[in-house]
Amino acid sequence: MSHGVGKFIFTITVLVVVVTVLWHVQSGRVFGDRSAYHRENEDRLRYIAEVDLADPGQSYSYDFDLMARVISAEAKGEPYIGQVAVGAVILNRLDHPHFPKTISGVIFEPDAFTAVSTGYVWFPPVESSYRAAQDALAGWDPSGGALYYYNPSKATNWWVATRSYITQIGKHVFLR
Amino acid sequence: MNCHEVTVMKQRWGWMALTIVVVAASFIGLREYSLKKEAELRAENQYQRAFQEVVYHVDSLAAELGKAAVSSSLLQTQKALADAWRHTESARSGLGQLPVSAIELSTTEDFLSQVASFTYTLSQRGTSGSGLSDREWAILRDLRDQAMFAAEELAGLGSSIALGRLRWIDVQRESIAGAAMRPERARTQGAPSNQVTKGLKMLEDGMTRFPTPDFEGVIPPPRKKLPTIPGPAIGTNEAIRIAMDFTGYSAVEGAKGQVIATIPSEPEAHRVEIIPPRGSDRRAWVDVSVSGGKVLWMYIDSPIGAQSVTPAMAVNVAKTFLDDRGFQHMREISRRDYQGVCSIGFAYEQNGVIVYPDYVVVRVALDDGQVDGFEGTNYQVFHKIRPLKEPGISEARAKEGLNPRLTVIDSRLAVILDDFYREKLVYEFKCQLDKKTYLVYINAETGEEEEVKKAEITGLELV
Repeated sequence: MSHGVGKFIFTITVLVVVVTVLWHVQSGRVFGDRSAYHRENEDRLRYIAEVDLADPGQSYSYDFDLMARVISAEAKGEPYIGQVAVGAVILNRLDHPHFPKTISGVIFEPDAFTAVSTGYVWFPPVESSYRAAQDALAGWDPSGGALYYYNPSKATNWWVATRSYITQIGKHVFLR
Repeated sequence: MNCHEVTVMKQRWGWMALTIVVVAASFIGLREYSLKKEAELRAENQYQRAFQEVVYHVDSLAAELGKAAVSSSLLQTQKALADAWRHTESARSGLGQLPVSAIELSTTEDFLSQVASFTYTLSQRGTSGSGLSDREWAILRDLRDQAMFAAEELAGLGSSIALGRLRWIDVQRESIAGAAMRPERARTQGAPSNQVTKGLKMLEDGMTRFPTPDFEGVIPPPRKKLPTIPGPAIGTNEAIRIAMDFTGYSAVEGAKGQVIATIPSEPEAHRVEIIPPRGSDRRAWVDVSVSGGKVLWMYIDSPIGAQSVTPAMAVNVAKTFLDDRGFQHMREISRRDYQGVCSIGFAYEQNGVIVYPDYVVVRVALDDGQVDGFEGTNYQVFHKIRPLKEPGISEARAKEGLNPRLTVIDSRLAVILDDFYREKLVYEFKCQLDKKTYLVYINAETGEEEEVKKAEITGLELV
């Protein structure tokens, strides 16, 4: 019988320990604040700051980095022209009266990009997204002048019906 | 220890353990809840601030437009217009920070954009010019009335938000839920339940009732409308042939091209995808304009390896590429290399005059030195042999118009587009001030300074 009590106490103790550890992990006391990708981001930011100092011509690098992040988070795994097209949509919005007038304004407009709302934009971008961002800035626009895009397999948005269809690249449908 | 005592102890331990678990669980729950509330409150405060700024700036905008309409002094009018412009831009910025992406506000946004353009253009005219024309004054009065209406609506919404303790977070929730809704449900659901959304819809409805002033020739068009390329409409087979020739795939056995879409872009285009023969992963995409059959842009997809070609060699590759495809007299104007590729900008040169509207970009992969990208929409749309006039003033005269503090490095004649997309013949002076390079454009007819560009702002390396 006393053996049963010991087992019971042991189980409860383990439970409490597990709960406490989990609590500490989720509050960021054990592994820090999702430290792995934060550290990586810090490195990247430092790298950009150095580039800025070395070459004052790179003053757009924060906006540019943001663009690459959005492209990466939204169109990773898409064909290359699909990545450039996402960058082109950001730039097309810049020129349009219905959208903010800066790249960061367009990107951080509430609920404008899923990747920003979910936080995926803060994960390290894939390399090709930097090339795609540069190409969009240089003038390539595979989106055909699109202002919106969506993934039909992920969302059915009512506003889709109110916009005119341009084309589909990979999984994304581009609209104006 | 008898059986009864053991049971009691077991129960006691059991209760204690249960208590600990319940306490721990409620701690975690409470903590999560308060963190969530805190985050929500922060977001809400941001939204409230953004909205109050919109209210304030639209109100000030209406006041400044009123002042500009009343003042008889040109300087005072321009001051008021410059202030109005500042308030408009701030209002637009505030609007861009509100969770209203799912609410139709296009008339209001168009209005703010037009006011910004109108007030900016007029406030920059310079004190030497005449005052507002009758037509401009009439537009100003129309805009003032519309701004006053918007200011009233927004102030009303502001006070109902304050009195009713309405929250933007709820607007955001509703708009996210609405966006995820299926179209048939969204349509049958009808009016929004949220008071803030309702208020914004009222504002938008009211704004649509104002007639849009005729801005033709007064403010620059918001977007460059590309004219269509002259020539007969081409079919898909023709488009495939053009794409295969342009990419060089017509000489590759087993390469197959197909039109994957016809795109209502500006200009309309057949999109050709070229699948290389087995053993190659260099897939290509080419947009060929429907009218005229011109290549607007192309990409050849290939993994980029270690660099073995210098950017200078890449420029030669790009030049040969252009020559082979009938782009004659192209002059390198910019170059930038990034992530293993080099993009080189070329503009058309007519008798020593650089024609900036006719430009193309050629991208060369620095691993194998092959052209893997081309962008020439502007060239294909704008290019023609222009009847260029002789400059009205000499280069020496134009140089006198420059700021004497500058060191001139280089100069040439060029054609540029102004804000209204009109072509202008100018002298381009490449100048330096404190080790920074600038391009200064002096009108070759009037001698007026048309534009100053900081060479690095575009991120292009100047050549």
